[in-house]
Amino acid sequence: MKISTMQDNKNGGKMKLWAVCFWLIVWQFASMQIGQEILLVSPVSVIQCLIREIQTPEFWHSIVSSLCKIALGFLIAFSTGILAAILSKVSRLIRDVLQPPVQVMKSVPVASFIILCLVWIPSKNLSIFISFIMVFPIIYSNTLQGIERTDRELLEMGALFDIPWHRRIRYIYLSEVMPYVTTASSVALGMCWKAGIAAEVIGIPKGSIGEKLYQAKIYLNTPELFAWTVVIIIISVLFERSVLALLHGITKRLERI
Amino acid sequence: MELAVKEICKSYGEKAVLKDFSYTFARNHITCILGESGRGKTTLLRILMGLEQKDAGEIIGFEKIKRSAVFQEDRLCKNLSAVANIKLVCSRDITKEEVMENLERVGLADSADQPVQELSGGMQRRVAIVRALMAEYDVLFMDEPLKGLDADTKEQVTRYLLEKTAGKTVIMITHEPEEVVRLNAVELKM
Repeated sequence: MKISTMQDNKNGGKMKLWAVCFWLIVWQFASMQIGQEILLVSPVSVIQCLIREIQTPEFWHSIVSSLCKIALGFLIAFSTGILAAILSKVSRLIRDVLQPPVQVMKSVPVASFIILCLVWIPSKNLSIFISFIMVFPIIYSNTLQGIERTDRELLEMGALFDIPWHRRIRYIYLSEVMPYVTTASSVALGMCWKAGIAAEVIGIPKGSIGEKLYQAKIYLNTPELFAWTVVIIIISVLFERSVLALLHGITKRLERI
Repeated sequence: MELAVKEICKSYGEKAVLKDFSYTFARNHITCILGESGRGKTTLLRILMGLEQKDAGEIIGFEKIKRSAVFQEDRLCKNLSAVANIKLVCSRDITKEEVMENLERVGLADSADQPVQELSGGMQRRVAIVRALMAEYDVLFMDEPLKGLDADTKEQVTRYLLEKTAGKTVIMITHEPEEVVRLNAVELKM
Protein backbone atom coordinates (compact mmCIF):
# COMPACT_ATOMS: atom_id res chain seq x y z
CA MET A 1 0.00 0.00 0.00
CA LYS A 2 1.33 3.38 -0.86
CA ILE A 3 0.76 6.62 0.89
CA SER A 4 0.44 8.18 -2.55
CA THR A 5 -3.07 6.75 -2.77
CA MET A 6 -4.21 9.63 -0.62
CA GLN A 7 -2.37 12.16 -2.71
CA ASP A 8 -3.72 10.70 -5.94
CA ASN A 9 -7.25 11.17 -4.61
CA LYS A 10 -6.48 14.72 -3.63
CA ASN A 11 -4.89 15.56 -6.95
CA GLY A 12 -7.76 13.91 -8.79
CA GLY A 13 -9.97 16.64 -7.36
CA LYS A 14 -13.69 16.64 -6.71
CA MET A 15 -16.17 15.19 -9.15
CA LYS A 16 -17.65 17.94 -11.30
CA LEU A 17 -21.42 18.25 -11.39
CA TRP A 18 -21.44 18.97 -15.13
CA ALA A 19 -19.51 15.73 -15.77
CA VAL A 20 -22.10 13.76 -13.78
CA CYS A 21 -24.90 15.45 -15.76
CA PHE A 22 -23.11 14.68 -19.01
CA TRP A 23 -22.96 10.97 -18.23
CA LEU A 24 -26.59 10.94 -17.05
CA ILE A 25 -27.61 12.44 -20.39
CA VAL A 26 -25.50 9.84 -22.24
CA TRP A 27 -27.20 7.13 -20.17
CA GLN A 28 -30.70 8.51 -20.85
CA PHE A 29 -29.92 8.81 -24.55
CA ALA A 30 -28.52 5.26 -24.80
CA SER A 31 -31.56 3.90 -22.95
CA MET A 32 -33.92 5.70 -25.33
CA GLN A 33 -32.00 4.35 -28.33
CA ILE A 34 -32.13 0.75 -27.09
CA GLY A 35 -35.76 1.21 -26.14
CA GLN A 36 -35.91 -1.80 -23.81
CA GLU A 37 -35.95 -1.03 -20.10
CA ILE A 38 -34.98 -4.59 -19.26
CA LEU A 39 -31.65 -4.19 -21.06
CA LEU A 40 -30.82 -0.64 -20.12
CA VAL A 41 -33.14 1.18 -17.80
CA SER A 42 -33.32 4.97 -18.06
CA PRO A 43 -32.12 7.19 -15.19
CA VAL A 44 -35.65 8.58 -14.89
CA SER A 45 -37.05 5.08 -14.23
CA VAL A 46 -34.29 4.44 -11.70
CA ILE A 47 -35.19 7.61 -9.81
CA GLN A 48 -38.88 6.70 -9.89
CA CYS A 49 -38.06 3.23 -8.54
CA LEU A 50 -35.83 4.73 -5.89
CA ILE A 51 -38.61 7.09 -4.73
CA ARG A 52 -40.97 4.11 -4.45
CA GLU A 53 -38.42 2.05 -2.50
CA ILE A 54 -37.55 4.86 -0.09
CA GLN A 55 -41.15 4.88 1.13
CA THR A 56 -41.07 1.25 2.22
CA PRO A 57 -39.80 0.24 5.69
CA GLU A 58 -37.92 -2.75 4.22
CA PHE A 59 -35.71 -0.38 2.27
CA TRP A 60 -34.42 1.26 5.44
CA HIS A 61 -34.28 -2.03 7.29
CA SER A 62 -32.06 -3.55 4.58
CA ILE A 63 -29.74 -0.57 4.63
CA VAL A 64 -29.38 -0.54 8.41
CA SER A 65 -28.89 -4.30 8.55
CA SER A 66 -26.19 -4.41 5.84
CA LEU A 67 -24.45 -1.25 7.00
CA CYS A 68 -24.29 -2.34 10.65
CA LYS A 69 -22.75 -5.70 9.76
CA ILE A 70 -20.20 -4.35 7.30
CA ALA A 71 -19.30 -1.50 9.66
CA LEU A 72 -18.88 -4.00 12.50
CA GLY A 73 -16.50 -6.06 10.35
CA PHE A 74 -14.58 -2.90 9.55
CA LEU A 75 -14.39 -1.85 13.18
CA ILE A 76 -13.13 -5.26 14.35
CA ALA A 77 -10.53 -5.37 11.55
CA PHE A 78 -9.48 -1.78 12.22
CA SER A 79 -8.85 -2.33 15.91
CA THR A 80 -7.28 -5.77 15.62
CA GLY A 81 -5.19 -4.64 12.61
CA ILE A 82 -3.68 -1.78 14.60
CA LEU A 83 -3.14 -3.97 17.66
CA ALA A 84 -1.51 -6.71 15.54
CA ALA A 85 0.77 -4.12 13.91
CA ILE A 86 1.91 -2.84 17.32
CA LEU A 87 2.54 -6.41 18.52
CA SER A 88 4.40 -7.20 15.28
CA LYS A 89 6.65 -4.23 15.87
CA VAL A 90 7.37 -5.41 19.41
CA SER A 91 7.86 -9.08 18.56
CA ARG A 92 9.49 -10.55 15.46
CA LEU A 93 7.84 -13.89 16.29
CA ILE A 94 4.33 -12.41 16.11
CA ARG A 95 5.19 -10.74 12.80
CA ASP A 96 6.41 -14.05 11.35
CA VAL A 97 3.34 -15.90 12.63
CA LEU A 98 0.98 -13.30 11.12
CA GLN A 99 2.70 -13.10 7.74
CA PRO A 100 1.14 -16.23 6.12
CA PRO A 101 -2.51 -15.47 7.05
CA VAL A 102 -2.11 -11.83 6.04
CA GLN A 103 -0.65 -12.91 2.71
CA VAL A 104 -3.52 -15.37 2.21
CA MET A 105 -6.09 -12.66 2.99
CA LYS A 106 -4.40 -10.36 0.49
CA SER A 107 -4.15 -12.87 -2.37
CA VAL A 108 -7.20 -15.15 -2.18
CA PRO A 109 -10.04 -13.84 -4.38
CA VAL A 110 -12.94 -12.54 -2.34
CA ALA A 111 -15.42 -14.85 -4.12
CA SER A 112 -13.42 -17.91 -2.97
CA PHE A 113 -13.54 -16.62 0.60
CA ILE A 114 -17.26 -15.99 0.44
CA ILE A 115 -18.10 -19.48 -0.88
CA LEU A 116 -15.66 -21.14 1.50
CA CYS A 117 -16.95 -19.22 4.50
CA LEU A 118 -20.57 -20.06 3.70
CA VAL A 119 -19.69 -23.60 4.76
CA TRP A 120 -18.66 -22.43 8.24
CA ILE A 121 -20.53 -19.23 8.95
CA PRO A 122 -24.29 -18.56 8.84
CA SER A 123 -25.06 -16.36 5.85
CA LYS A 124 -26.46 -13.59 8.07
CA ASN A 125 -23.00 -13.04 9.60
CA LEU A 126 -20.98 -13.63 6.45
CA SER A 127 -20.64 -9.96 5.52
CA ILE A 128 -19.08 -9.18 8.92
CA PHE A 129 -16.37 -11.76 8.30
CA ILE A 130 -15.78 -10.81 4.66
CA SER A 131 -15.54 -7.15 5.60
CA PHE A 132 -12.97 -8.13 8.26
CA ILE A 133 -10.97 -10.20 5.74
CA MET A 134 -10.83 -7.24 3.35
CA VAL A 135 -9.86 -4.62 5.91
CA PHE A 136 -7.48 -6.42 8.28
CA PRO A 137 -4.46 -6.90 5.95
CA ILE A 138 -4.65 -3.31 4.67
CA ILE A 139 -4.84 -1.75 8.13
CA TYR A 140 -2.23 -4.14 9.52
CA SER A 141 0.34 -3.65 6.73
CA ASN A 142 -0.03 0.12 6.59
CA THR A 143 0.07 0.65 10.33
CA LEU A 144 3.15 -1.53 10.61
CA GLN A 145 4.77 0.39 7.79
CA GLY A 146 3.91 3.66 9.54
CA ILE A 147 5.40 2.47 12.83
CA GLU A 148 8.54 1.23 11.05
CA ARG A 149 8.98 4.53 9.26
CA THR A 150 8.52 6.66 12.36
CA ASP A 151 11.28 9.17 12.22
CA ARG A 152 14.24 7.89 14.26
CA GLU A 153 15.41 11.43 14.74
CA LEU A 154 12.12 12.33 16.43
CA LEU A 155 12.42 9.31 18.69
CA GLU A 156 15.94 10.44 19.60
CA MET A 157 14.55 13.90 20.33
CA GLY A 158 11.91 12.33 22.60
CA ALA A 159 14.57 10.40 24.47
CA LEU A 160 16.86 13.42 24.88
CA PHE A 161 14.11 15.64 26.27
CA ASP A 162 12.97 12.75 28.44
CA ILE A 163 9.39 13.01 27.19
CA PRO A 164 7.19 10.51 29.13
CA TRP A 165 6.42 7.36 27.09
CA HIS A 166 2.66 7.97 26.87
CA ARG A 167 3.31 11.43 25.41
CA ARG A 168 5.84 9.95 22.95
CA ILE A 169 3.22 7.45 21.76
CA ARG A 170 0.56 10.12 21.45
CA TYR A 171 2.52 12.94 19.87
CA ILE A 172 5.40 11.26 18.05
CA TYR A 173 4.21 7.78 17.03
CA LEU A 174 0.54 8.65 16.45
CA SER A 175 1.37 11.76 14.54
CA GLU A 176 3.63 9.75 12.23
CA VAL A 177 1.38 6.69 11.92
CA MET A 178 -2.02 8.36 11.49
CA PRO A 179 -1.50 9.39 7.83
CA TYR A 180 -0.80 5.71 7.04
CA VAL A 181 -3.90 4.58 8.97
CA THR A 182 -6.09 7.19 7.29
CA THR A 183 -4.91 6.23 3.80
CA ALA A 184 -5.39 2.55 4.57
CA SER A 185 -8.88 3.24 5.94
CA SER A 186 -9.82 5.21 2.86
CA VAL A 187 -8.90 2.27 0.63
CA ALA A 188 -10.31 -0.38 2.96
CA LEU A 189 -13.68 1.32 3.45
CA GLY A 190 -14.62 1.13 -0.21
CA MET A 191 -13.35 -2.42 -0.51
CA CYS A 192 -15.13 -3.80 2.56
CA TRP A 193 -18.41 -2.24 1.53
CA LYS A 194 -18.25 -3.74 -1.97
CA ALA A 195 -17.04 -7.12 -0.74
CA GLY A 196 -19.66 -7.16 2.04
CA ILE A 197 -22.47 -6.60 -0.46
CA ALA A 198 -20.97 -9.27 -2.74
CA ALA A 199 -21.03 -11.67 0.22
CA GLU A 200 -24.69 -10.85 0.79
CA VAL A 201 -25.54 -11.45 -2.87
CA ILE A 202 -23.99 -14.91 -2.66
CA GLY A 203 -25.17 -15.75 0.87
CA ILE A 204 -28.59 -14.05 0.48
CA PRO A 205 -29.23 -13.26 4.16
CA LYS A 206 -32.81 -12.14 4.78
CA GLY A 207 -33.49 -8.41 4.82
CA SER A 208 -30.14 -7.32 3.41
CA ILE A 209 -29.13 -5.14 0.47
CA GLY A 210 -27.54 -8.24 -1.10
CA GLU A 211 -30.88 -10.06 -0.97
CA LYS A 212 -32.61 -7.12 -2.69
CA LEU A 213 -29.98 -7.14 -5.44
CA TYR A 214 -30.34 -10.88 -5.86
CA GLN A 215 -34.12 -10.67 -6.10
CA ALA A 216 -33.88 -7.85 -8.63
CA LYS A 217 -31.59 -10.04 -10.72
CA ILE A 218 -33.87 -13.13 -10.52
CA TYR A 219 -36.98 -11.18 -11.53
CA LEU A 220 -35.04 -9.24 -14.16
CA ASN A 221 -36.15 -6.09 -12.38
CA THR A 222 -33.53 -3.83 -13.94
CA PRO A 223 -34.83 -0.55 -12.45
CA GLU A 224 -34.63 -2.00 -8.95
CA LEU A 225 -31.17 -3.42 -9.65
CA PHE A 226 -29.95 0.01 -10.74
CA ALA A 227 -31.78 1.75 -7.89
CA TRP A 228 -30.06 -0.46 -5.31
CA THR A 229 -26.73 0.07 -7.04
CA VAL A 230 -27.22 3.81 -6.71
CA VAL A 231 -28.05 3.34 -3.02
CA ILE A 232 -24.89 1.26 -2.54
CA ILE A 233 -22.76 3.97 -4.15
CA ILE A 234 -24.32 6.72 -2.01
CA ILE A 235 -23.89 4.75 1.22
CA SER A 236 -20.32 3.83 0.25
CA VAL A 237 -19.42 7.51 -0.18
CA LEU A 238 -21.20 8.53 3.04
CA PHE A 239 -19.67 5.65 4.98
CA GLU A 240 -16.16 6.50 3.78
CA ARG A 241 -16.55 10.23 4.43
CA SER A 242 -18.00 9.75 7.91
CA VAL A 243 -15.27 7.36 9.03
CA LEU A 244 -12.52 9.55 7.56
CA ALA A 245 -14.02 12.66 9.20
CA LEU A 246 -14.16 10.78 12.49
CA LEU A 247 -10.52 9.69 12.13
CA HIS A 248 -9.52 13.24 11.25
CA GLY A 249 -11.36 14.55 14.31
CA ILE A 250 -9.72 11.97 16.58
CA THR A 251 -6.27 12.77 15.16
CA LYS A 252 -6.75 16.50 15.69
CA ARG A 253 -7.96 15.90 19.22
CA LEU A 254 -5.02 13.65 20.02
CA GLU A 255 -2.55 16.14 18.61
CA ARG A 256 -3.84 18.87 20.88
CA ILE A 257 -1.68 19.61 23.89
CA MET B 1 30.78 19.48 39.69
CA GLU B 2 33.18 19.04 36.80
CA LEU B 3 31.89 18.56 33.25
CA ALA B 4 34.68 16.94 31.26
CA VAL B 5 35.73 14.32 28.77
CA LYS B 6 39.00 12.43 29.12
CA GLU B 7 40.82 10.66 26.29
CA ILE B 8 37.62 10.04 24.36
CA CYS B 9 37.95 7.85 21.25
CA LYS B 10 35.34 7.19 18.59
CA SER B 11 35.71 5.47 15.22
CA TYR B 12 33.29 4.59 12.45
CA GLY B 13 34.77 1.51 10.84
CA GLU B 14 38.34 2.34 9.97
CA LYS B 15 37.86 6.07 10.32
CA ALA B 16 38.86 7.52 13.68
CA VAL B 17 36.70 10.59 14.30
CA LEU B 18 37.84 11.36 17.85
CA LYS B 19 41.18 10.26 19.19
CA ASP B 20 42.18 10.73 22.84
CA PHE B 21 40.21 13.92 23.07
CA SER B 22 40.12 15.61 26.47
CA TYR B 23 38.47 18.81 27.58
CA THR B 24 36.88 20.37 30.65
CA PHE B 25 33.78 22.43 29.92
CA ALA B 26 33.17 25.74 31.65
CA ARG B 27 30.09 25.51 33.86
CA ASN B 28 27.51 28.29 33.66
CA HIS B 29 29.04 29.56 30.43
CA ILE B 30 28.56 29.11 26.73
CA THR B 31 31.25 26.99 25.09
CA CYS B 32 31.48 27.30 21.32
CA ILE B 33 33.04 24.35 19.51
CA LEU B 34 34.73 25.46 16.30
CA GLY B 35 36.56 23.46 13.71
CA GLU B 36 36.57 22.31 10.13
CA SER B 37 34.07 19.75 8.90
CA GLY B 38 34.97 16.17 9.76
CA ARG B 39 36.82 17.01 12.97
CA GLY B 40 34.24 15.20 15.10
CA LYS B 41 32.32 18.16 16.52
CA THR B 42 28.89 16.63 16.01
CA THR B 43 30.13 13.22 17.15
CA LEU B 44 31.45 14.76 20.38
CA LEU B 45 28.15 16.57 20.92
CA ARG B 46 26.17 13.37 20.29
CA ILE B 47 28.33 11.47 22.78
CA LEU B 48 27.77 14.21 25.38
CA MET B 49 24.04 14.15 24.63
CA GLY B 50 24.03 10.41 25.30
CA LEU B 51 22.92 9.56 21.75
CA GLU B 52 26.19 7.92 20.71
CA GLN B 53 28.47 5.49 22.54
CA LYS B 54 32.17 6.29 22.90
CA ASP B 55 34.71 3.57 22.06
CA ALA B 56 37.05 4.51 24.90
CA GLY B 57 37.70 7.25 27.43
CA GLU B 58 35.77 8.82 30.25
CA ILE B 59 32.84 11.22 30.45
CA ILE B 60 32.55 13.08 33.72
CA GLY B 61 29.51 14.92 35.06
CA PHE B 62 27.15 14.26 32.11
CA GLU B 63 25.59 11.08 33.48
CA LYS B 64 22.53 12.26 35.35
CA ILE B 65 21.97 15.72 33.95
CA LYS B 66 18.83 17.07 32.34
CA ARG B 67 19.53 17.76 28.70
CA SER B 68 18.02 20.07 26.15
CA ALA B 69 19.10 20.49 22.55
CA VAL B 70 18.85 22.23 19.24
CA PHE B 71 19.84 19.46 16.86
CA GLN B 72 21.52 19.89 13.50
CA GLU B 73 18.04 19.25 12.05
CA ASP B 74 14.94 20.87 13.56
CA ARG B 75 13.37 17.57 14.67
CA LEU B 76 9.89 18.99 15.15
CA CYS B 77 6.64 17.03 15.03
CA LYS B 78 5.45 18.35 11.70
CA ASN B 79 1.71 17.98 12.30
CA LEU B 80 1.80 19.75 15.63
CA SER B 81 1.68 23.51 16.06
CA ALA B 82 4.68 25.51 17.26
CA VAL B 83 3.05 25.84 20.70
CA ALA B 84 2.36 22.09 20.90
CA ASN B 85 5.93 21.22 19.89
CA ILE B 86 7.25 23.42 22.67
CA LYS B 87 4.77 22.29 25.31
CA LEU B 88 5.61 18.68 24.49
CA VAL B 89 9.05 19.02 26.09
CA CYS B 90 8.18 21.49 28.86
CA SER B 91 6.93 20.78 32.33
CA ARG B 92 3.14 20.80 32.64
CA ASP B 93 3.02 24.08 34.56
CA ILE B 94 4.29 26.07 31.56
CA THR B 95 1.24 27.91 30.20
CA LYS B 96 0.39 28.70 26.61
CA GLU B 97 0.81 32.41 27.44
CA GLU B 98 4.43 31.81 28.48
CA VAL B 99 5.09 29.91 25.27
CA MET B 100 3.46 32.71 23.27
CA GLU B 101 5.66 35.31 24.99
CA ASN B 102 8.76 33.35 24.02
CA LEU B 103 7.58 32.86 20.45
CA GLU B 104 6.91 36.57 20.23
CA ARG B 105 10.52 37.25 21.23
CA VAL B 106 11.69 35.48 18.06
CA GLY B 107 8.98 36.96 15.82
CA LEU B 108 6.69 33.92 15.66
CA ALA B 109 3.62 35.13 17.54
CA ASP B 110 1.46 35.04 14.41
CA SER B 111 2.44 31.49 13.49
CA ALA B 112 2.11 29.93 16.92
CA ASP B 113 -0.94 27.79 16.19
CA GLN B 114 -0.06 26.71 12.66
CA PRO B 115 1.23 23.16 12.07
CA VAL B 116 5.00 23.58 11.82
CA GLN B 117 5.07 21.87 8.42
CA GLU B 118 3.42 25.03 7.07
CA LEU B 119 6.21 27.24 8.39
CA SER B 120 9.35 28.21 6.48
CA GLY B 121 12.74 26.64 7.26
CA GLY B 122 13.88 29.70 9.22
CA MET B 123 10.66 29.76 11.25
CA GLN B 124 10.95 26.06 12.06
CA ARG B 125 14.50 26.68 13.22
CA ARG B 126 13.30 29.36 15.61
CA VAL B 127 10.61 27.02 16.98
CA ALA B 128 13.35 24.43 17.64
CA ILE B 129 15.42 27.09 19.45
CA VAL B 130 12.50 28.27 21.63
CA ARG B 131 11.68 24.63 22.42
CA ALA B 132 15.23 23.96 23.60
CA LEU B 133 15.38 27.13 25.66
CA MET B 134 12.02 26.60 27.36
CA ALA B 135 12.71 22.98 28.36
CA GLU B 136 14.15 22.34 31.80
CA TYR B 137 17.84 21.55 31.54
CA ASP B 138 21.22 21.46 33.26
CA VAL B 139 23.17 21.51 30.01
CA LEU B 140 21.94 22.84 26.67
CA PHE B 141 23.47 21.39 23.50
CA MET B 142 23.19 23.21 20.21
CA ASP B 143 24.47 22.20 16.78
CA GLU B 144 24.73 25.30 14.62
CA PRO B 145 21.47 26.76 15.97
CA LEU B 146 21.57 29.99 13.98
CA LYS B 147 22.31 28.37 10.63
CA GLY B 148 19.95 29.45 7.88
CA LEU B 149 18.64 32.56 9.64
CA ASP B 150 18.93 35.96 7.95
CA ALA B 151 21.06 38.69 9.55
CA ASP B 152 18.20 40.55 11.29
CA THR B 153 16.57 37.39 12.63
CA LYS B 154 19.97 36.08 13.73
CA GLU B 155 20.47 39.23 15.78
CA GLN B 156 17.00 39.00 17.31
CA VAL B 157 17.43 35.30 18.16
CA THR B 158 20.95 35.89 19.56
CA ARG B 159 19.59 38.51 21.96
CA TYR B 160 16.86 36.10 23.09
CA LEU B 161 19.35 33.25 23.40
CA LEU B 162 21.81 35.30 25.48
CA GLU B 163 19.06 36.40 27.85
CA LYS B 164 17.64 32.91 28.31
CA THR B 165 20.98 31.16 28.77
CA ALA B 166 22.50 33.69 31.18
CA GLY B 167 24.33 31.76 33.90
CA LYS B 168 23.61 28.38 32.28
CA THR B 169 25.88 25.75 30.80
CA VAL B 170 25.64 25.67 27.02
CA ILE B 171 27.75 23.66 24.60
CA MET B 172 27.30 24.66 21.00
CA ILE B 173 28.83 23.99 17.62
CA THR B 174 29.35 26.87 15.26
CA HIS B 175 31.25 27.58 12.07
CA GLU B 176 31.33 31.33 12.61
CA PRO B 177 34.15 32.64 14.86
CA GLU B 178 32.27 35.96 15.32
CA GLU B 179 29.53 34.07 17.14
CA VAL B 180 32.05 33.31 19.90
CA VAL B 181 32.46 37.05 20.44
CA ARG B 182 28.76 37.83 20.07
CA LEU B 183 27.82 35.22 22.64
CA ASN B 184 30.74 36.04 24.93
CA ALA B 185 31.56 32.34 24.79
CA VAL B 186 34.53 30.16 25.65
CA GLU B 187 36.13 28.83 22.48
CA LEU B 188 36.96 25.17 21.95
CA LYS B 189 38.93 24.62 18.76
CA MET B 190 38.89 21.09 17.42
